[in-house]
Amino acid sequence: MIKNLLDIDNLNIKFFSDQEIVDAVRNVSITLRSGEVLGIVGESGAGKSTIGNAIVNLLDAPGEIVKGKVMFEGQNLVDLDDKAMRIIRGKKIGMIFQDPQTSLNPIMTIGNQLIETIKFTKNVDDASAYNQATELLESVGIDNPKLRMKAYPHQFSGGMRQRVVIALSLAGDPDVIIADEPTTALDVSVQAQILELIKSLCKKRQLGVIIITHDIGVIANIADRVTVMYNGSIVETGNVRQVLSSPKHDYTKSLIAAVPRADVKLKRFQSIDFIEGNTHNHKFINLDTHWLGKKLNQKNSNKAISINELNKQFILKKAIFFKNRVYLKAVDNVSFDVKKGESFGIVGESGSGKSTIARLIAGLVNVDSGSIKIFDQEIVNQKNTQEVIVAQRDVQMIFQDPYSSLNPRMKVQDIIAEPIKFYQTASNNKEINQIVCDLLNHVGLSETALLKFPNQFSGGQRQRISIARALASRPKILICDEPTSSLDVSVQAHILNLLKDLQDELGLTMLFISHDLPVIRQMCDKVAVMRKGKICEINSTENIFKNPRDPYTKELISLIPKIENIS
Amino acid sequence: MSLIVFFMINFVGDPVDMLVNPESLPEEIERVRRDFGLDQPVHVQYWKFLQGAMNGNLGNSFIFGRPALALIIERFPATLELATCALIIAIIVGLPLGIFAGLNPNGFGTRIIMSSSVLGISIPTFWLGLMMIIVFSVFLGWLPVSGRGEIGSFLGIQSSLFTFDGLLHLIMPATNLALFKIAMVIRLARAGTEEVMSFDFIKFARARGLPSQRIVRFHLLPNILIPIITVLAIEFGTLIAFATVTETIFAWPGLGKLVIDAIVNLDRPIVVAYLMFVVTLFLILNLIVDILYAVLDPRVRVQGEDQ
Amino acid sequence: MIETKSLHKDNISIGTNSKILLKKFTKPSTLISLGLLFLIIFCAIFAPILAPTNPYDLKVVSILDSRLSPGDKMFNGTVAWLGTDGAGRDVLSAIIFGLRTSLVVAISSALIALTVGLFVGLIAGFYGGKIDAFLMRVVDIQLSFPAILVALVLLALLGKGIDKVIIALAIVQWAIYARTVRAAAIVERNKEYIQAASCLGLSNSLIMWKHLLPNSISPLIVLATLQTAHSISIEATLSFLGVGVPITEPSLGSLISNGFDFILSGAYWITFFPGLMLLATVAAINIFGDQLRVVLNPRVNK
Repeated sequence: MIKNLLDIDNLNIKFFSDQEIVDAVRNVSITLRSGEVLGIVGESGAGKSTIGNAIVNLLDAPGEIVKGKVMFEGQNLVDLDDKAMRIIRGKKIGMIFQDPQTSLNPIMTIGNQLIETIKFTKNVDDASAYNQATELLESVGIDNPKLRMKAYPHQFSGGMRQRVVIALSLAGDPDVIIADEPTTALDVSVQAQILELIKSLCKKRQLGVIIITHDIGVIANIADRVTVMYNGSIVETGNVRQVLSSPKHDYTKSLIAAVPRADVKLKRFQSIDFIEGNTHNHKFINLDTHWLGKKLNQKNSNKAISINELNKQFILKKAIFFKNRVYLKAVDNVSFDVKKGESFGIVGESGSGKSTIARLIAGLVNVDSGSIKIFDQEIVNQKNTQEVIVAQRDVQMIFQDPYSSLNPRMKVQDIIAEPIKFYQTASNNKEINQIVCDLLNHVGLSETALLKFPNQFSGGQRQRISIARALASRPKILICDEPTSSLDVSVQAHILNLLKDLQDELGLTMLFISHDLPVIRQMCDKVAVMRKGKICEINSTENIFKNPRDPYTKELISLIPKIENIS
Repeated sequence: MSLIVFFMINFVGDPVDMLVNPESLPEEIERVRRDFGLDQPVHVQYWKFLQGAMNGNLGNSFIFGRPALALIIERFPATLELATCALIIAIIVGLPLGIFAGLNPNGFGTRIIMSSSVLGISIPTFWLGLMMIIVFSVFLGWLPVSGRGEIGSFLGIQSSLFTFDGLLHLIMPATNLALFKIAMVIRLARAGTEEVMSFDFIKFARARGLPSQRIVRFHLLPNILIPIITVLAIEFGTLIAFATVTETIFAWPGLGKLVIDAIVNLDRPIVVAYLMFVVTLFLILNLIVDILYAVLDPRVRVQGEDQ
Repeated sequence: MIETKSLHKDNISIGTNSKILLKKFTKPSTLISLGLLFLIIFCAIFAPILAPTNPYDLKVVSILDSRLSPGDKMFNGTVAWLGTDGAGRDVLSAIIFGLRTSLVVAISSALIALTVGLFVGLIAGFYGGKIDAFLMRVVDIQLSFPAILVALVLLALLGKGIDKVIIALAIVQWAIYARTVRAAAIVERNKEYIQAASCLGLSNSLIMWKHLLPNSISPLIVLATLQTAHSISIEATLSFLGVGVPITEPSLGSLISNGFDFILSGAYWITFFPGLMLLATVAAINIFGDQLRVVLNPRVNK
C-alpha cells in the first residue's frame, strides 16, 4: 500500500510587519506519496515557495505558520523546535533552491561541503564520508568525481553546479526532496537534463519530490500530480494529464491558455481573462486623424532594416600586447533584411549575440564593421546629419527588465512626455498632456497613472508604460528585447496581445528578440536562429518549426516541452 | 612627491629663521645658511637632495644635526609596537562583539554594543587619552603617566612587550589608539555578518541539517573575514599615522612626535624623509593586501569556468 | 487599519513608504540626536547672543579670573558655569564660540568636497573606460593614505589659517565622495532607463545630469552626514596638535589643547568640558547619520 509521506493539512501562513499583515498561504492541504513527483505551480505571489520553506521551518522572517499541520512520519513538524527540526532537515527532507551560484559557499571546496553534510547527517567517519561523497557525485552525473571534489563552486558551469546542489541535498539520504524552481536559473538545454536527473533519482530511490515552479512546461515534463495555486490558495489539484487536458478552474484554464504554443500560431492569446481583468478589446484608432498616424507614411522603401556583414567583438581579457588579448565575437558576419511591417524574430540562447544585434541597430553600441540601413539610410559611422538622426529616431526599443527600464524618480507623465518634448512634436503643454493621456489609455492604463511613480506599478503595468514611452517617439520600427521574460506567464500573454494589436494598427515593423521558441512562434512571421554570434538559419516561422534544416535549430525545437501532446 | 614637499616648504617660511636666534649678526645667519646648503638656489638644493637620496642619504635634520633617515628608522620600532598592539586589541575585542551583534540583531546586548560603537567612533582620541591619564595615573595612580617602559628581548626582537614595566606603559596608549578601531571593527563585523547570513548558501546549509555552530565557524566566519582583513590591513597604515596623536599625549618616543615637531619647526629633511618612508610603507602594505586577498579568496586564486 | 494582502511581489513597495519613515523618525535615539543637533546648530548660529561673555574680547577678559572652578563668580559678576581657563576666559563661552568654528570648518569643507567629488564621480561612472580608470587611480592613491596624514602634510605646506584648514579638509575628503558617487553611478548607468534615454537621442550630458544624477545621490546624503562628523574630529585633532585653526579663532580641539597643560594641577574642567561637547556633537551627528542610512536603504526596509 502506498502511504502518504507528507500530509499538509489546512496550512495558513501570514507575514507580519509594522504596517500590514500579508496572507501568504490560505487553507492549503497537500499530500505526497513516495515515488511520485508532485508539482506545485503558480505565478509570483501564489505562495508556493512559502509552503516549501515552511515545511522545513525555514520561513524567512517575518513569516509565521498561524494554523495547520504538516504531518511527517507521525509527527507534526509545526510543533517541533529548531533542534528537533535540525534532525529532520537533510536527513529526512532535503531542499534544492533556485540559484546554484548562490547556494554554495564560494570559498569552500565542494568536496568539503559534501563531506561535512554527510558527517553531520549520518555520523560516519572521514573515510566513509569521502567515499560516499564521490559516489554521490557520480550518481548525479559528474565525471571524474575524485578530481572535482577539490574544486571550488565557481569552477563549475551553472548546470554542473546544480548537480552538485542536488548531490548535497541527497547526501543525508532523505525520503522527501523539495525543489524550489530548480531549473529557472539555467539555460534551456541544461534544464531538460536536470529535470531528467531529478525524475530518475526519484524513481530509483523511491523519493517523494515536490517541484515548485511557475513553468507549466516543467510540470508537463516530470510531474505525476499537480497542484495549482493562485493568490495563496489552491485552485485545483489532480493528475497532470487530466489537469492539463481538461482544467476545471477558470484560473487554470487562463494559465494554460496563456502559455505560448509551439505547434500553431494563434492570432491572439485567448481566454486569459482571469488575471488582469478583461482583455479589453483594443480600440483601434483612425490613423488619418490621430497624432500617432502623422508622419507614418513618409518612407517609401520596403526594406525597413537592412544588415550587411555586421561584426562586433568585446574584449574579455585585457593585455598590453594585442596578441594576448582575448576577444569574444558577439556578432560574427551577420546579414539579414527585415521588410516593412514584418515581424522578425531572433532566437538563441544566452551568449548567442541576439541582444547585441538589437543594441547595434538601436545605436546603443558601436559597430566594429559592417552596415546597418534603416529604410535605406546608412547609420553606421555617419556624421550626425538630419537624415541619420531621423533614421535613428525611427527605431525605438522595449527592454527586458521592467524594474530598471523606467527612471524611478520621474513621474509616469514626465517619462512618456520626454520624447514628445525632446522632439518637439507637439505645440503646447496642453497638447502634450492630451497625447500622453491618450497613449496611456491606448496601452491599457488609466489617467490615474499620470502622477504616480514607477515603483507603484506591477511588472506588467511598467512594461505598458515602457511601450507608451516608445510610442511617444512615433517610431516605425520597434525592437522588443525579451520584453516579457521577466513577467508572469499570464501577464506575458496580455502584453504580447497588446504588441500584436499595436503592430496591426500602426503597421509597425517589429524585431522580436527572445530565447523562448514558443513565444517567437506566436509573435513572428520570420525567424533567424543564432548561435555564438552566427546565424544558423533564417526562414519563415512555419518552415523553421515544421522543417528545421540546421542541426542546432532541430536541437532547440526538440527541447520545447510538449504540453500539447499530453492532452 | 618629494618634489612637491621640497618646494612648498620653502614657500612657507625660511627654515633658517627657525634655527637661528633672530638677533644674531647677519654674518652668523649667513654662515648657518651656508652650512646647511640653504644658500644655493632651490633647484640646486633639490638636485643635491636627489643625488643624496640615491645613496640612501636624505640629508641631515636641521634641528638634530643627524641624518634624517637614521632618525626615522630609530624611532620607528616604538610606533610599530604601539600600532601592532592596537590592531591586535581591536581585532580580539571587536570581532567577537561584532559577530554577536550581527547574529542577534534584536537582542538587548546588541543594542548596548552598537551604542558603544557609536560612542567609540565619536570620542575624540586625544581627549580620551587625557581623561585616561587623569583617571588612571593622577587619581588612581595605577599606571605610569607617560613614556615608554623598559625594553626586553625575545627571539631577537626588542620590544617593551616583554617586560612588565614595558607592559604597564603600553596599556594606556595602545588601548587609546585601539578604541576607534574597535568600534570600526564592531561595525564592519556586524554589517558583514548580517549580510552573509542573508545569503542563500547559509540557508542551504541549514536546510542540509548543519548545526548553527558549524555554520558560524566554517561558513560565516571565512566569508566575512576576507573583506574585514583587507580593510584592516589598510587601516594599519592609518594606525601608524594616527599614532602621532597618541604619542604626543603619552610622550611615546615614536615617529609621530618626531614628525609633528618637524612640521612645526620647519625641519624639512625630516618631513621629506618621513614622507618617503611612509609612502614606501604604504606601497608595501597595499602589496601585502593584494597578496592576502589572493591567498584567502579562491575565486581570485583559481580561474573559474564561466565567462 | 491593518490591511491583509497577498504575497504578490508587486505588492511589496520597493521605495520608502511614508509610514515607515515616520516610525523610524520617532525612535527615541533619533529624536534625542536630532534635538541635540538642533540645539548645537542653534548655539553656533547665535553664539554672540547666547554666550555669557565674549571670551575673545580683550577688554573683558582679565587674568584675575583665571582658573576659577565651575560655578564661581567672575570679576565682573557673571557666573562661570563651567569655570575659566588660564587666561581668565569663561569656558562656557569659549565652548559656544569654539563649536561655531568647528562647525563652520567642517560644513564648508564637506560642501566643497561634496561638489568636487560629485562631479568627478559622476563623470567617471558615466563615461567609464579610460576616463574612469584614470580618475579612480587618482582617487585610490589618495585613499590609500590615511586622512590624518594627508591633512598634516597639506597643512605643513599650506601654513596656518582657517581657510587653509578648510581647503586641506576638503582635499582630504573629496576622494571618498567621488568613489561613492561613482559606485552608485555605475550601477544606475547599466540600468535600462539610461539606455532608453540614449535611444531617444538625448545627448550624453543631458542624460548624465537629468537621469543619472538624481538617482546617484542618495548614498551621498548619509555619507555627507557621517563625513561631517569625521571632519569635525579630524579638525579637532589637528588643532590639538597645533597645526589647525589659529589661536585667535579656536575650535573645540584648540580648547582641549589649551587645557592639556592644566591637568596635572587639577583644573580638569578646562579640558574636560570642551571634550565633552566635542563628543556630544560628533556622536549626535553620527547617530543621526546612522538612522538616515537605515531609513534610506530600501533593502533594510523589507
